[in-house]
Amino acid sequence: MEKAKVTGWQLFVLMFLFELGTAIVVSPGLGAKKDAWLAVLLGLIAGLILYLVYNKLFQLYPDLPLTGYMKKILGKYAGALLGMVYLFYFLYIAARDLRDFGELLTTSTYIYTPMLVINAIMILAVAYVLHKGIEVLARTGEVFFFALLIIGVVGTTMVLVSGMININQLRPVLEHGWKPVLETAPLTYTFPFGEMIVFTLLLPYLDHPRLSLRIGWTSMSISGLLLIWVVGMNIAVLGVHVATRSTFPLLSSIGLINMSGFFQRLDIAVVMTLIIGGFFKIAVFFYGALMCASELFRLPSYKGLIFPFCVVILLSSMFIADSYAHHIKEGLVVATYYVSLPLQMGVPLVLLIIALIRRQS
Amino acid sequence: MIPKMSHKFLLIWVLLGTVLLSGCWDHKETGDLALVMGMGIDKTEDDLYQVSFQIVNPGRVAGGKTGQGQGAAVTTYSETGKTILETIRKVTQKAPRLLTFSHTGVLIIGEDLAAEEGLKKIFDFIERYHDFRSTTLVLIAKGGEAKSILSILSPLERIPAIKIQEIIEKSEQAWGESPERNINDVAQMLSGKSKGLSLGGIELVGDLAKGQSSAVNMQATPDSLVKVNGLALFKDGKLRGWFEGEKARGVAWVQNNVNRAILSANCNPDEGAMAAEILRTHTRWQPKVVKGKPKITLNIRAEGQLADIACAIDLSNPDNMSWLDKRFAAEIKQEVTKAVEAAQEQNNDIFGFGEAINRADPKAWKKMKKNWSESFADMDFQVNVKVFIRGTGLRKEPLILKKK
Repeated sequence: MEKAKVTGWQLFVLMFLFELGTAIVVSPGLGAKKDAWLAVLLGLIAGLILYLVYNKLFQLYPDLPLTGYMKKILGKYAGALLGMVYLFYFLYIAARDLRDFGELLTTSTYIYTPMLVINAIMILAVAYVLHKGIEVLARTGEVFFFALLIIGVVGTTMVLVSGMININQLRPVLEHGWKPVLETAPLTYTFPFGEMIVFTLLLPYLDHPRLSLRIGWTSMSISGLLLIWVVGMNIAVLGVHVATRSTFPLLSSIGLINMSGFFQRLDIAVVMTLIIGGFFKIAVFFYGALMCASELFRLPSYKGLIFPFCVVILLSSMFIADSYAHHIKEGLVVATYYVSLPLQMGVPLVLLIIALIRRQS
Repeated sequence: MIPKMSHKFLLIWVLLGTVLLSGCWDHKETGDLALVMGMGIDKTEDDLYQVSFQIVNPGRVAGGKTGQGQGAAVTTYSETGKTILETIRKVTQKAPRLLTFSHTGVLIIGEDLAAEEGLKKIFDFIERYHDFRSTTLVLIAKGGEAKSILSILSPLERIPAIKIQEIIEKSEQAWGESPERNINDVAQMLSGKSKGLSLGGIELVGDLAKGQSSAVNMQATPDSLVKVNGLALFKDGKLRGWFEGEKARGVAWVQNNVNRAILSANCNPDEGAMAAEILRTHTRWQPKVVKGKPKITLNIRAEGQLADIACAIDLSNPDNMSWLDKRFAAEIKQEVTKAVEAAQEQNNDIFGFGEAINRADPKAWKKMKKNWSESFADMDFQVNVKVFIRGTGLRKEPLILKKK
């Protein structure tokens, strides 16, 4: 652990940017067709409940990160082993987000640039900030929060004013019943709400630990409502068929903005949103992996690990899938059910139950 | 802590990377780009796509007196190939610049291609390709090839494709017959199963050969020009027929696409005509399912001003004004009824009533979905029109009226 403190506001901003991150551009939940927004809402509710679990664990061990109390609860060896699993998990998700980022840039704006180059520049920027420490990351977040806010407000106003929203495209609600919604909810929970698990490693830095629940819940709710708005807007603007067929629905719907031939071509705002969100998402996961590793191997500082992890994330972002279709399929099926759900939901629940039982006896 | 040296090294690396690599990898100089203003797609007899590109000649468009008036402001290239992308790339054999589509204003599709192959195959590429903007307008070349429409030069606007765009925008606002539909609208309508599609038509009036020379711009009455006309009706992505005049505007009334319009009517069968300018209008649908049968009520409300009257009516009498309201309302009702009935005859739900029924009663819709064309053909509809003529312009009584 570093000797650092993060204010409540900074943590709020980090969580907010992290939650929106790549999710706002790839629009999760479209598996539920017109009811995608409902699926995201269910995911958000599940995420809020699970955050209670993360928070309770933090309250029980306010000075320790996830890997720290894991060792206390499960014992030295089992805890360390599980810590290793989380280390790989965070590295993997960081690589996945880097890939999302590279995919969008190479399909929308940088057609002729190799993805390796784009990803390398991104991960180097992330590495540089992490090298400066968590406080710098948090302060960077404060700056970019306002940048994102401006883009968001301008984009939303334009969409509303150019009258592209056809609310009828969202109706009838529950056209195919609850089944598709419930089937999609695990996906919207694991991405992005369940990913809050990585903040269990950052919570000990909070300067007022008793505010952790309030900060987490507000941040998740606001970003979650924004995601619901974006998913709903994409469908209302593009129609459910085009939206589900789009690789990046937000890019397609924002590209339609045209106010009397004057305000148009705002696609670049979407690319900027992804660059900002992607940066923080990758950075937080990267930082999570660094924390896991330094805690497990009892390193005095994680800084020596930055460069090797950088290479690991960069190369795995290139190797995890042959094509975008592979990448998404892997993310939706394998990663969700076999990796994310157990690690985001199962393990923390088990940890909390054991910890509470131990405390009782 | 990491030693000071590698710290600096990392910083230099990041800075170098950002400066040297970001953005510039994909750079293209403006001088290397050919801006495609209009694109046309036809099908040749041997089943290949014939794609035409109207490209700006920058030197001839630029302001200033030199250069203007000499030569055409655009060049139209065309090329054939199995796929559209193939033709785009083949053009590089003729044109010294790379085709860029970010400023393409209109996409024109040949009538034969639209009728025989339909739009679905070509729209896949158009939606997928990163360089097209989904705000590009789509039109169907009525009774001809897209290529010839794009070959005609035009007075008033130096770039014909921009002219077409302007015509569409102006006539949608002032006349209300041809809809303004872009690539995204078309893609949406093509992908919904129950959605019909209607697109504006554009046709060539006059002689093709004469229109291709820039001499056409020197005539007061051009030998040839392009005209926006008619409404192309699609079913399942294929062109199935045309609506013109009243029927075409009837569709626009139903779809709430009328902004402003001119309504003309006869005062009495044997008396003179009168016209009103409709300034504001709104159409509201009330779909419902009655005993398993779909029904839709169209409530149209229009507000306007009397513009022209050639019969003897005392306009200072409020009762006469209400009579006018009813007279014009009947006119709108007739246009709408004609359009809906004609669409029903063709079993073609171009309005999207199916989607509306789905919203109103999803359960009943599931049963009707399969045979929607038939259910649509004998579905009931009711048109309620309310017109409010608010004013009579700068004069009250008509000139023709003799007051005692």
